[in-house]
Amino acid sequence: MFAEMMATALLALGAENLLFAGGSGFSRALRSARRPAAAGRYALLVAWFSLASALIGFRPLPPFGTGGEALRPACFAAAAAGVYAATAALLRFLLPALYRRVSGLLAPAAVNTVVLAMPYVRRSFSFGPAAAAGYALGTGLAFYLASLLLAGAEPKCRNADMPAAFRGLPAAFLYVGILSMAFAGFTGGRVF
Amino acid sequence: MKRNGQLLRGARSIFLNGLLFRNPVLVGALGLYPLVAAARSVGSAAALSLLFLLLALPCGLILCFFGMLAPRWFRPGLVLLVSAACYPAAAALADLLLPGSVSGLGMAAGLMICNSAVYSRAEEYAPEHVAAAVLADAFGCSLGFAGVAFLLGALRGLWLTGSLPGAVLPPAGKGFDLPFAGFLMLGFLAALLQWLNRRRAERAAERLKRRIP
Repeated sequence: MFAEMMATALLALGAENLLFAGGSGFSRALRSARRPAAAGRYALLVAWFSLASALIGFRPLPPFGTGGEALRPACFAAAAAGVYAATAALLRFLLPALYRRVSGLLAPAAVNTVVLAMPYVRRSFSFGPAAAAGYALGTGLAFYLASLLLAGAEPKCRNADMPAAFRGLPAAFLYVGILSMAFAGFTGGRVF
Repeated sequence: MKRNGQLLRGARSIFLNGLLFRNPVLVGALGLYPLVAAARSVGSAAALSLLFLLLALPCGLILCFFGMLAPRWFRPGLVLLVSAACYPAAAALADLLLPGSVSGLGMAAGLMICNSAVYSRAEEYAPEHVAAAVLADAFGCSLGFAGVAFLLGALRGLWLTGSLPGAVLPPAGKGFDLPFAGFLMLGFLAALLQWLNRRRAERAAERLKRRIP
């Protein structure tokens, strides 16, 4: 069981490959990097939503015919929306102090879960409890590492010596572009 | 009459912000994955743009009419649910208009459900604005997204195949279809827009200075 969990965690750590080599989930990783103090909490929430969505949403769906390809991601997103609503409601009414601390991170973490799960969803994976825990661990860790890497780049991208037009977001795009080029060198251009 | 004029000017400004000055991709860094990974030709750019419009428009309008009925904490889940519900129809319509386009986009098509540009406009903007403003915003953002998608698609198409409609050049090589090339191009486009926005702000400040001596 432990081996299965760790193998799935490693597989999910490939989501980091998705973040950098593929750019998937980059919008939210960039926002998380702007608040490095909250990156740990953000990653924990990503791991929680990944666990719950994997247990609920990773089900081999019946063949829907030609529209099946479109219905599978829609069903998974709906499952993630349900998990978000249940988590937010429980925290809000049972642990209001904790809710106040994480309320700003809950929704982006839930949405990011859908983004990072999409390769699995397209392949119609289904996880048992151990594999789901490994998947959640790997996804949370991948997101945390990506946020840390981007947080280190933030001050560099605002360097005053840079031409004003490139300062900030344009420099961040170029930084990730170069990083992504290096990842493409390792993966041979294959994303996931 | 005066109110209609004000409404029209307001809608125009919202539309232009979405289209250019506050472009969701180049200023907001939203909805990046489909562009960097899938906008590899003019055809895929057209498919992405169509899918974006077909999701942004209904999601925006539904949240505009019913968003305020849901408590604030529940709204993100509602947006995700509405987007998931709209996606199969949007994908079917996009496939009908551009046959084979949605399956050609691969994973990027499914990710349009939680595209951060569509999501953030539907969650933050739509519930608190009137339908005319939401429509202007949805069209502006869709055109802004499409503009970037077509630029990336055309440049990559030119690089990969050496040809654009009406122009034939020798192909420059592969690798340009990978996401890193999309990020590098986005970097230069975002810098161009940042430069334009700074010039615009400087001119506005000069005009103000002339008016108030």
